[in-house]
Amino acid sequence: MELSTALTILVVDDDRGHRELVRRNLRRGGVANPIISLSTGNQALDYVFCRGAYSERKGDTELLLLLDINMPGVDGVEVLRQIKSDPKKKTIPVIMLTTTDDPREIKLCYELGCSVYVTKPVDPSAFIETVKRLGMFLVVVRVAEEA
Amino acid sequence: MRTSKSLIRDPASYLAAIVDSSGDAIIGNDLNGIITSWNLAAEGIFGYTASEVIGRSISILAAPGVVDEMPSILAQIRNGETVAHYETDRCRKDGTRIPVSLTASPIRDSFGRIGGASKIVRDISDRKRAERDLQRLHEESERRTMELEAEISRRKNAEGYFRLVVEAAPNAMIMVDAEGRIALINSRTEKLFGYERQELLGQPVEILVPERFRTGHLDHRSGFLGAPAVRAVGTGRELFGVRKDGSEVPIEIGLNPIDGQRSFVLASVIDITERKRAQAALSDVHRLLELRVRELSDANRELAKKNEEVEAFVYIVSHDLRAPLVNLQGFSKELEMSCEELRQCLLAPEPLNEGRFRTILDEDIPSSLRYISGSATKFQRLIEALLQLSRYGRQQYRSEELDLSSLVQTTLDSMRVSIAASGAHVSAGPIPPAFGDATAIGQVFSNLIGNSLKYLQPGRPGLIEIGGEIENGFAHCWVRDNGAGFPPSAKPRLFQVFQRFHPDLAPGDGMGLAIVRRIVEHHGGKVWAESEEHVGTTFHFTLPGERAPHR
Repeated sequence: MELSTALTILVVDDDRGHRELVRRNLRRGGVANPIISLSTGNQALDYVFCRGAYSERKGDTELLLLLDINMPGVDGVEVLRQIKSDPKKKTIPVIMLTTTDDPREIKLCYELGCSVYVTKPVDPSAFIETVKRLGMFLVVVRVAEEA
Repeated sequence: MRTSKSLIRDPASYLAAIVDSSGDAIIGNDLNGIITSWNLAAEGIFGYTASEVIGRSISILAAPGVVDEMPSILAQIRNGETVAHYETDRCRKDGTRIPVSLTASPIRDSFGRIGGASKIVRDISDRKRAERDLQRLHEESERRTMELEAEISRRKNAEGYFRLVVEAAPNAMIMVDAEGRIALINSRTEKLFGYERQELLGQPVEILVPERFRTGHLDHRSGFLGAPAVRAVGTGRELFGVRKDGSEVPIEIGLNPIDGQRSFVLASVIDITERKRAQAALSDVHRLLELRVRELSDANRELAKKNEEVEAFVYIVSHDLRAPLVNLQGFSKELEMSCEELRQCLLAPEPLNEGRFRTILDEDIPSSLRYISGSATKFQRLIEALLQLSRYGRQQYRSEELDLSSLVQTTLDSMRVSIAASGAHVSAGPIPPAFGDATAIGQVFSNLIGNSLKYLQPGRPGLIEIGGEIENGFAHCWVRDNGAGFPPSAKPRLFQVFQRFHPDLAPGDGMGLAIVRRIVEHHGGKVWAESEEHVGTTFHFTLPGERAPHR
């Protein structure tokens, strides 16, 4: 896996089992980066914007968000909206986690300005494959941003 | 007198002077008709001088085409007779005819012998002309009289014809004179207004105008007489006539000025009662049609809304059912992989990696199993919740009069333990009665109050207040709290299944409000909520104030 080790991965999902599956499969796919599991949209925003329980966090860590869409309270849509409307944070790569490849969910992801989504790891080998391709994608994105 | 003295001295000259001064021609002739004397007047009348005619025959004066009566006159003269005032035509020197009256007398000598004739000829042209004029005048007046008689008879015929036409008209016809008095009506008019002909003739036409329009009608009438023209009356206005019995009849009027020696207005009046009725019936049908169309489009909209709801429901349900499925499938795979790893460990030729072996056996496999059983339980709970919701949807609700105040008291009594545990203060004001199913409405109050208890703002004593009032025939109830509230973004999904906003504050399946909505809407009521995060929430719902038709 070519991910920069300085990159911290945020997995945001209200379902603990889903978070655990994502974590295990990232590890199984060779991702050694720190993985932080969060269960609500509010926690995710607090983490990203270094406030609330995370006010002590240094904001210079590079982040990658794996974001569930449907969450109680502040949902994935709202988290994405707030990140994309912040000039400093809008470059954070956000990958939507979908339960299915239901066209409606995918359409929603595109509408939110997020062209990347992964289906939750029902089949680990497929998930790992996706994460690997995602790694390539992120490298490409980084190179493009640095150029 | 000097003249008369000299004349008296010469009697012949005196006579000659008298003859010459006569206005009538005095002509003397002998018994053969030879002119012997010719006075000045004769010169004037006939155009011949005395010297031209004396010695010539009197016949030169005969008018051509007139039988020469000279011989017979001469014969009478010879017999001593006088021909008096004989009227005939004579001829002038220039050939023109001249009507004359002549008197011929015999002239006797001193022995009494007739020696000639004296003729006094009077020009009667003027008299003749006057006579002719008189005759013409007479004829003219005769002709005029005849014409007048003809005109009178024509008019009499025309009037008769006019009356016939009016009488035969299919409409009520009313002829009104310049003073606004009824001069002529037909039998249709009698029938339409319920009057006898004699009751209307000579009456002001306003007798047929309803009281409230009379003043206006007078103005219209004088306006029309000022500028008469064929036209319809009251375009764009509704016109009414009044019958003898006081009842009113909707009418349409056409006006037609008639010019004669006196001006009249002929009004044609049409009874439009039937037309009005037809129009009213038509517009009733229209209204009904519009109503039906509106009802249909309302029903359509309602159906479309329901359809959307069903779709949203299916989407949410399938999504939420899939969440535990993801875990079941995912952790089954995890178990599979753990097994594979264990097998690898056992088959490995090297000494057993006990640490890894234990981790798999003590952590990986048990946690996978926990997730699997937890998800299975969750799956089971969701299915049960759905079944419950479906039961609320299919249930036959009774429509009985409910004492909501006591229903709320009963509900609060049953929740005493959890209220006490929350430490919240719950109060209930008077609530108006409503119609519905006691068990179901009890459930609504219980879910809403339970909701308030669950989502109190941490660190603040809870206050829950239940109240109600009558509004537009509905009982409007509310449950108000000072709890955690929810953000505006949560509002659209609030009453949908499996929606949870504060999973951290209390456990639940996100079913309570969906059930509340299902029950309330099945009762024909509405449910909605107002909320401010960290301040509080008020849930409102309405119930019918009267018995529902059997559903």
